[in-house]
Amino acid sequence: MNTPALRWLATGFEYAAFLKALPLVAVLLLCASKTNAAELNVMVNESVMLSALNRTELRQIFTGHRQYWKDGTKITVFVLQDNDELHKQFCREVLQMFPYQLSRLWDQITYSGQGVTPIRVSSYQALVEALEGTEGAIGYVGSDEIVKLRRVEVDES
Amino acid sequence: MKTKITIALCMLSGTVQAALSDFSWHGYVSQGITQSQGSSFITDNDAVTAELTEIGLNGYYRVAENISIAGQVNYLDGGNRFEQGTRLDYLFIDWKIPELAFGWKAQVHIGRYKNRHWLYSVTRDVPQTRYTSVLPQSVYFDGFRDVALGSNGIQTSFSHFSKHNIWEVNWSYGRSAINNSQRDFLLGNEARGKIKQEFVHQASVFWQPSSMKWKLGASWLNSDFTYTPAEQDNRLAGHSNVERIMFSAQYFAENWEVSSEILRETQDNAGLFAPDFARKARGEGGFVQVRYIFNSEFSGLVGYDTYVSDESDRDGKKLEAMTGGLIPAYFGYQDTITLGARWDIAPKWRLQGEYHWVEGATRVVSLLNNNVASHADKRWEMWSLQLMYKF
Repeated sequence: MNTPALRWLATGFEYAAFLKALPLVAVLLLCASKTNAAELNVMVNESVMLSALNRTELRQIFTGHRQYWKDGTKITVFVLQDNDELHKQFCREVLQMFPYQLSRLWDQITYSGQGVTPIRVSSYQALVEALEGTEGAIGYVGSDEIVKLRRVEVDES
Repeated sequence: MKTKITIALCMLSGTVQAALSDFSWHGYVSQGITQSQGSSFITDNDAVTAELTEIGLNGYYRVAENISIAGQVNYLDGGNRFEQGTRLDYLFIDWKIPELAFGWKAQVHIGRYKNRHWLYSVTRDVPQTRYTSVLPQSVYFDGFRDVALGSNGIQTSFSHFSKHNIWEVNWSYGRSAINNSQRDFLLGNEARGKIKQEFVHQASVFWQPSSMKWKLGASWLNSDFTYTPAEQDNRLAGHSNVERIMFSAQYFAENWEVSSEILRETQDNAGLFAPDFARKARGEGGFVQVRYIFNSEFSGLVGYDTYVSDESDRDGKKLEAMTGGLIPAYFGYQDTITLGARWDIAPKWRLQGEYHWVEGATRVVSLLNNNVASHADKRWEMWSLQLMYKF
């Protein structure tokens, strides 16, 4: 029992204190996980008259395989930088791809003349402004507080 | 020359917006240091050199709703691996057909198009899109780089996205001009005539499940070449046919990915050395590369690449005997082990390094060259460190 860690384990007082603190730890962990998994919504500019897209359609749009809305308006895709947590969350949860896969696809499209890739903006504020100010724009936001954008349901079917 | 191009591109990148309504442009600049030891594959006399430069600038202009023009010029310096200089990488009309029967889409490229039949072929010159500066030579043989990279002709690509699968089917038909530098590489310095690629015909199919964790593909290539001798030439008129069949696979996980391609390639040569000369050889090989992603900035790579130029002579001993010892046996094969590391310094900046241990030399120099043995030892090494920027 000379080892400090063993001594600590052997002391009932610390163990009881730990049990008392457990609910507090649990609450903190829950808060932390809620913070990490921010709410994420796919958004379009108000000019785009649709309310839902399925995952296949979203993949086509975000991988450059679909470049026009059904009414003929050009689709302009805005995203955050690859290392942004919200972008990573969008790739994983909505497109169900790894961010590095998407980034490589865009590089292939960009440097082989296959089409136009999303415009990467440097801040969340710039993303929101670009979505609000560009006809036919699509992107994502971290909350649903933005009133000048149209929220798009992601249809799992 | 390359310094001026770099400065010009950096100035442009600061003054022009990356994307306008109907026109967009992008580019890349990279510079490295490199060395091959015990081989002239990259450098002569084991010299450490800065002959690792890749600069590119491209534009994409939307003419109409589904018709665009795309082009890219680049400047390349890869030491002895290929000819140094500025190239028109691609310039074509891009015609998109968004709705075909049964949910298929199509894309047609007419002009100088890029080969999109292999995993890395479509962006072979773009350092950010490759695992390593020197790609696995079994598939991406630098000696034949300019011919394999793209062609003048037509390429079509059909794609289909569904809930469970993603399909891509590609077909192309064209030809490339072959310059004297490539002629010298292929036939030796004493050849004086012209090599003409009559055609290159390629097709490929790729499949991905809806999870997109896998990408599996198969491709086929068939190409004819003719040689017309000059008035003073020690080569005769000749003909060559190359046929390649290849399988490609990639697997993507959260923290690691694997890429692999295997090929079988048949070369059928006639003429060139004697009116009745004929030689048919079937080479085969492939590579596997595993990249581990430590975090969003750092990743490491390990790879293995192998190729034999004649599958009936895997250790090259027949080759050595046939040439009376002029060509050592180790020029019949090439095995490479690679270690690499990547650091994404900032969103557009990357530092990438690699080290290759090689045994054999069949991809170092054309076996039709003189003094083949002086080009490589049996065991040799190469390395590079490359800083790259894209915009």
